Amino acid sequence: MNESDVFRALADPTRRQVFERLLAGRRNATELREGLGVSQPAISQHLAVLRGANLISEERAGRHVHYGVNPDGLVPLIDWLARYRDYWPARIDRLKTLLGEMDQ
Amino acid sequence: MTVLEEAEVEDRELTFEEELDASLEKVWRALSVPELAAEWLVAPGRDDVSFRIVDAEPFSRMRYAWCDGAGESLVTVEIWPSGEGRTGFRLTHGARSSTMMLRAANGNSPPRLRRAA
Repeated sequence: MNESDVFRALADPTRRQVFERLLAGRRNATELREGLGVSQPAISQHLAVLRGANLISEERAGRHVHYGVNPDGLVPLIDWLARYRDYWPARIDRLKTLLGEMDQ
Repeated sequence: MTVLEEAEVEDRELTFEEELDASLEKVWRALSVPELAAEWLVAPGRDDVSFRIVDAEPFSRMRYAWCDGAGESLVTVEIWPSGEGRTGFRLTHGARSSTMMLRAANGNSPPRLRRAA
């Protein structure tokens, strides 16, 4: 999981709605789908992306599956500027290399 | 607003200053020619990032609107001559001054520059 997975996961408006519903409490897939106008396979896909980004977790009890927010998953989102502290030095190194590759 | 839509971010900036072993003109090209700029501004694999030039003072300052999945911010690059064939360089990345909204990439803005695939 990397930070861009988190941003990409929440860039989709439907996924964002699903995630916001989970912020209010644990839900199952049927409850999450309600009123969103998306199919069952589509909701499963959205949930898979959110899980892949470590934003939500899945809890199984027999046949019943509930989803809930993973609080740690939000940390990169809120502290994005701290991550850019690591981002730019590498980019500037790339600029230096690029300048060396460019002719005048 | 839900907690997801609004994350309060203090006024914060990151600043990086370097001296580059290249002429002012060459550095300006790397800032202003879209393909060259995308080559170094956007890390490989970051297809969630895009930018567009919002302000240009040739051979002096470039401002990019910087868009990642979390919102839009401002990247400013200032350059100045720094001796024979060398160029001073300062990059500043600032958050929005009050709130940062989590949004999908906007639909109405002009075309954005992305790293070539």
